[in-house]
Amino acid sequence: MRKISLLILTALCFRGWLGAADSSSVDVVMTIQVLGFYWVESPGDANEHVTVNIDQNAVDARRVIQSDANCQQDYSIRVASQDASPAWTLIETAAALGQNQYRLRGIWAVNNATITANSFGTNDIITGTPQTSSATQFFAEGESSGDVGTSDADGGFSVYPGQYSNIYILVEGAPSPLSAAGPLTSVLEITMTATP
Amino acid sequence: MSSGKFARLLILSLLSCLFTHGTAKGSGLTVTMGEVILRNLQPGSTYHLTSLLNFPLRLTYSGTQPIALRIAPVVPEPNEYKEGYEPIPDSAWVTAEPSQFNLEGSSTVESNVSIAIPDDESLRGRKFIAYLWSQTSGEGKGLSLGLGAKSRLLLSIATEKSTAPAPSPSGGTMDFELSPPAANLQNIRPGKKIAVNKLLRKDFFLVNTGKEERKFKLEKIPASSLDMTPSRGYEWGPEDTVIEVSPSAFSLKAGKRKKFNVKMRVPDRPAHYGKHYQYLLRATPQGAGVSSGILFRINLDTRKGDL
Repeated sequence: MRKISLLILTALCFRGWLGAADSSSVDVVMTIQVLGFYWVESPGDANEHVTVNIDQNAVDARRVIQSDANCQQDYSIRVASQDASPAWTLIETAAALGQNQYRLRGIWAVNNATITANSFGTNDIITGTPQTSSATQFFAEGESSGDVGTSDADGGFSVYPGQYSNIYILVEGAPSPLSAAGPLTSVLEITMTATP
Repeated sequence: MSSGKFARLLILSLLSCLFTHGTAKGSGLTVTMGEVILRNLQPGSTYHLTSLLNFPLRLTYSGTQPIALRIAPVVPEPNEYKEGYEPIPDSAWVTAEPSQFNLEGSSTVESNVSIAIPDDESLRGRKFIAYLWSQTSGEGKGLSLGLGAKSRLLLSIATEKSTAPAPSPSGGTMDFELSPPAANLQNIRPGKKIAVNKLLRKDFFLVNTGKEERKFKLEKIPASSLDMTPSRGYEWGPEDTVIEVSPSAFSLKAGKRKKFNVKMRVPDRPAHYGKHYQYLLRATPQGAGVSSGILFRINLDTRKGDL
């Protein structure tokens, strides 16, 4: 009898609480708890910079990241900062590069991808404004899946928790001959951002 | 040696460094508040999430290099818009304090997020989207890759003036977690009742990370109730899907966790075969004033019709 009374009392308590919802009160709901990622394979730590020759016109080494989110997430990419003396100018279009100009492009692909400079398209140009990866943005949609994988599985969007993603970056520089005073190196910081 | 040869040698040696460094797990950044919906906000009110709900933005940096970590509220880019939400008119509505951390290595830090809605009656009934952008930056030369994460804030302004007293601190709480935060089910036959935990051989827990004993409820919520869209590749599951959560209401001491079980049955209709459905459960703690909740997603793929 005592147990039954206790149960009824508990039920009434919960009923009172459940029924107390007020549709006009402020309601805060976290629909996604955690976003983020790790560099799994990269030149080192977050800011262990690697010197690149800005006129190298070559695909830089693969970088690998692993999602640490607990939901699907997209990756946006942008050039966060650049510094060179004398100044090199980042070009954000597919226009021919002039003296002291450079351009960066990036594509997501399978881990053992076959990537050349021709794999990169206009929609793979990295700009100062963040652009979110999609089936075409930062993906070599014109290449064979045997070389680069598929956008659904290997692109930088709707990336599952724990999934590995591989980014390849093309550094394009001004055509030869370089300016005699031009630097061989530059500081470039590309920021990868996880978005819900 | 010519400058061209020197440059090529330099590149080769550096590329070689890239590969030799590439095996260890490197740096990382995670943030809480992946996406947060705030509803029934009143014009002229300011909401301090830490004092109202003990809900700071937590940022965890893993790495050995010193970095600067900055947090900035931003107006969304056009490709970050969400249907039904306007870009926030002024990023100053949202503040994060502190907004910059200089970290020597792996650390978890907290920033207090506040949302101030201007005292403007024309805002009533409107919904806005904003982001909190957390980014690292460091020092050095060459090509580097920084870390970033954007927390999405979805703000709904109340249609009517509230008669309730202003939200007080110590009302609700966000000091709890759902672990795991989602369940993924494949090849489920409509019409068959399934025990989700047993099928996945996984326990689901609600963890009270707060300092007080709390009552919680766990329930299925209609997809339309939060004006959300399902994750890409999914559609909301049929409303008449049977979902049973047990226990659905319980009390939990500080620091303790409670196991919960989920059983469900998708209606057996031809239209439900070969689908990718998503369902939402909501965990809600007891509290006065501001109510809070965390969602648990169930992603369910049904069997194809020819089987």
